[in-house]
Amino acid sequence: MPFNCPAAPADPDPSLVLQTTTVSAGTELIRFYSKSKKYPADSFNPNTGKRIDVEEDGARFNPFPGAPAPNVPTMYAADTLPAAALESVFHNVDHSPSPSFPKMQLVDWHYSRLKVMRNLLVLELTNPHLRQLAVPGRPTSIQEGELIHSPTSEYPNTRTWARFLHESLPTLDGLAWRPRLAGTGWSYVFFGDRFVAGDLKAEPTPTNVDSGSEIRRDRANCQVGQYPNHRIRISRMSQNKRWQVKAHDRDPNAGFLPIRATCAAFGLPLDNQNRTSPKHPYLLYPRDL
Amino acid sequence: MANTNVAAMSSAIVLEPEGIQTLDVGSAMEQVVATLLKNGPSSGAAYGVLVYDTRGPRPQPNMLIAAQTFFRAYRQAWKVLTHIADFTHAGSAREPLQTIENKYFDHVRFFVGLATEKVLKERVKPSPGVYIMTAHLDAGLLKVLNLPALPERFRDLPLVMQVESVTEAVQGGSHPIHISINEGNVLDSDLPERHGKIEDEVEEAISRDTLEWRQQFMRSNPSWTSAQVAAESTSTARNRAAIASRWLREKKIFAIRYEGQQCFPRFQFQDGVPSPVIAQVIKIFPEHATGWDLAYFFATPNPNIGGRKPIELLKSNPARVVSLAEAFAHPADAF
Repeated sequence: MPFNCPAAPADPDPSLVLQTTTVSAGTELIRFYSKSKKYPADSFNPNTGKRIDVEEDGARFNPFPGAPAPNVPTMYAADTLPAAALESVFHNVDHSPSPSFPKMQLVDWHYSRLKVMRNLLVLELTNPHLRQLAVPGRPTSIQEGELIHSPTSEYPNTRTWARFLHESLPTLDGLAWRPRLAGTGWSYVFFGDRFVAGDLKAEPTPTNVDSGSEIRRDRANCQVGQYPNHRIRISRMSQNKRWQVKAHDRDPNAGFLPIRATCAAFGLPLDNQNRTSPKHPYLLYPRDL
Repeated sequence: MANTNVAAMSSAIVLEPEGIQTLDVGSAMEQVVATLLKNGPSSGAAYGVLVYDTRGPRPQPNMLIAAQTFFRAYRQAWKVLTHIADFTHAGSAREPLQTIENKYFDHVRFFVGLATEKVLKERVKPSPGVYIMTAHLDAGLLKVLNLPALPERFRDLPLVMQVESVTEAVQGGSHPIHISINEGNVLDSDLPERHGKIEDEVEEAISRDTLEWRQQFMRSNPSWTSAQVAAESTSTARNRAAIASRWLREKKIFAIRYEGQQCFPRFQFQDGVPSPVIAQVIKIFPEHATGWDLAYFFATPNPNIGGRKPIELLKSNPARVVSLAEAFAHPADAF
């Protein structure tokens, strides 16, 4: 495991001064969330009964206890479809040449577009912004790699930073970071206790990723924001009538790691152009052969 | 587009509410970018501009043919627009001009947002084809013309759609627009075929990798046949031969199919009977999950426990296995 994450200071620091960023009213975000729980797209995950110290009880920045007792409700979203998918559906995919993804899990998700209705204050978890955050017992500050690129086993510690920042900065609405698997786009976690109804507006019907009812076969092949080489496609798996999210790039010279990792996370490079080995850099796990 | 020779394009036709007008390309392009111009004066009312390629036949200005070409271009652009799933634009004047191009529809391009004259000159280069200024096509007019309305996300945005090749031939021998890029109808025939082929390749590769994974699983995880389950069973039930299928039916164990045989991974059993934790895990998994899904969960390094496999915890910490199964079967619960 290349990165460990140290724990945040146990107590909030009311004198903390940080450079925050605004997510402007009108910004559109995408949120992947549970299909089976049936809660609305603009409602926060209450994190009820979840424990900060159990790795699988949440994700990178949830759950964490609020003051005084229950967990702070949270919501993850991102500004592009791949960023949103990578930091939710594919958040467990490991950083290895042939990561696998169990397709069974796709069924658990759907996504909605959300519109931000007021300016939101977030802290960008990138090294320039993290320099002011001291780590107890060591001279160097907390780093982006430790917070964002560390594996799932570090979640009990990464969550302590969400708790620390939430407690120290009473006006903070959430955190922002570059997706671990892609490095482009922005991912967010928002703190539910800083929001009121109407701060986020959701489109009426979520989109499934597992079944074809809402998505036409060749519908989504599009340029993503300002990153022309990142594309995402949601299309039907030809054999077993399930659906699959795919991302690929079209520029063979567009770099190696982030895009390849993105492809791997989504299960494929669609074109063979920039593949150097006949071995596919992924293993996706279909249900039936 | 950088090499486009403007001089090679002799002329353009501007479609306006009152009719058509033939202009030089430069003046016609001014009408195109007018709807995207930041702080620009009123942008006129032109619906579209047809830019001709001199390599094609010299255009005969004809209002009906121009209109028909325009309609066709609109439908093509509309179709591509509806395929663009991930597009966000705050609609504010501060957001810079975006150019949207699409890999599988490379003859259609969209310019969204406002920009200065200088930027527009750089980004919106004239090339043969049809430019459509959506700002001047209101919903009522589109309805009358039997044209589909723009997808909601693209309404009320400064938007110009550019279709570089209009593919249908026109009766009478002359193409109003010289087909410059894509021969053939990319949208209707070529595209699904290309997608289909790539998808099949991917399917095949996934199947290969999955098979490889299963072989690896079978090599490192011994399994019993139903006869072996019965033989190893310490159960005192009367019908011992059918014990495996009974446990399977009762969801106390799971089976995987490998090389045509029903196999029961041995890690499910302790002292000849199913470990209770197996039943708990099966219960957590959704109805549609197969034995292979369960096998995958149990035998794959799990990042929540530092890359160890859940089977390593079956004896020492079954409660943790259940907790890991919850997260695996319902991954979205954390979000």
